Amino acid sequence: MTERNNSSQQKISPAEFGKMSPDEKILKFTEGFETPAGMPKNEALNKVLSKIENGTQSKTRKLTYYLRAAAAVAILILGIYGVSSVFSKSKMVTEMAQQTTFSLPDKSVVVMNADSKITWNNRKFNNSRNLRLNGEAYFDVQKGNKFVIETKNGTVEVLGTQLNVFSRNNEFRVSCISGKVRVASNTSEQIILPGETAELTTNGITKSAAQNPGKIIAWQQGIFYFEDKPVVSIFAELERQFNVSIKFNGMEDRYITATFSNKNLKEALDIVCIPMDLKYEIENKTITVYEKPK
Amino acid sequence: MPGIDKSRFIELFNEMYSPVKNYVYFKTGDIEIADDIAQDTFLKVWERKGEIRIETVKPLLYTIAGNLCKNRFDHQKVVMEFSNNFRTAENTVSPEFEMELKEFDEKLQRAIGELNEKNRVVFLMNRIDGYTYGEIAENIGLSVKAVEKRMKNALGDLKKTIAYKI
Repeated sequence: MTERNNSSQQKISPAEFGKMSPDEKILKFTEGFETPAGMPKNEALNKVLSKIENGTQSKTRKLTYYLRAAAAVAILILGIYGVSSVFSKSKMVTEMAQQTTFSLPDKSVVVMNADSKITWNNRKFNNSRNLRLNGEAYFDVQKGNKFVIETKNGTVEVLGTQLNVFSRNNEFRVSCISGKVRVASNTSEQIILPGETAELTTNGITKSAAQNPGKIIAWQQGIFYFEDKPVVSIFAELERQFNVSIKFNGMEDRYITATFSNKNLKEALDIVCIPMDLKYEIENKTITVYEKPK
Repeated sequence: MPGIDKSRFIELFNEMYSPVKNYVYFKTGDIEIADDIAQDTFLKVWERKGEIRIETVKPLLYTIAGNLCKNRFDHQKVVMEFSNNFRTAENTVSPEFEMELKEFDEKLQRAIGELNEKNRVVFLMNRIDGYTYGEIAENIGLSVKAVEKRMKNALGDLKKTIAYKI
């Protein structure tokens, strides 16, 4: 049997193709098929011959069995380790327009705002109270040893207290409701007392004057207070609370003091937009905000 | 006298490597596996070079390759990738016709992948390797009648799948 010469090209015209029966079409087409090239034949032959000459065939076989066995053991070990660490790793996540309350293994209570994530290690938690936060959450920490909240913007360390932590993008704010809290970032640290808020600014962590702590944690009741905050960060909060996306085509460099509730989107938008002389259009889940034409 | 020497082995390799590789490809739809198994097949033949009879070596190659496939995988549904050497006749090329051919080609390849493995292997050995029914029957240990039947089934299934797809 010699190999067929597949390189000769077959020609076909529309008239011929139209006249063919389905059988003929299939047979004619498949005759022209070529399998993928894969390894060139002479290369394959050299490989086979070198294996024959070195007598490596059975050796490589054995080796691959050993390798397979070793791989199986390794996978098993990794699997056990992976499974146990997956089980001991706990996570709470809130979606857009969702809040949740839960308690940690040490009975500390956490209230999470929308679009936030908290992870901790269940197995080790009672020995070292350590967790990671991305987003915003209120903590009512049980008395005990050090309680550390890590965020990508800095760390918060507390001893039995109540506090609110906000860490999103580059914004980082910690408010102390009761007790005493130490807030640290790469460069600086501050200790804050009830009512005070520590905020990450270009000058490191700075402390702002005491204010009514009730306002800071009012988000748990669906009320949002903003005091002299950039308008874009308010829109970001609106996006999270109502699960919408807001396009802002206006001057970004302005600050606003506002209070809104997460019960009514239009009302909340009006509260921000009317005093700022902005107009908005709602289309499904997308809201476009723009400057009111003069 | 049973047994083959090295020069005869190389001759056999040159003649049969591609058909054996194709055979595995028709089963698995994976050209790397096909290369691998085809090489292992020849190594196994060499290991038994003392007992080999040249008259029966081809069916033996297919048997070994088939068993190696079985050891490795279970492949119910495979994706075939054939390059087609069809070209439209010059000067008559209309884009619509090119399109029609291309569509037909794609449908056909998909339909081949969906064929029952036994039917597919026989069908492609005939169409691509150019084996006669008699040769196929001898190589993979079937009766000519069985080969005919599988060819007929393959063609019937292909027509059905393609017509359904249209």
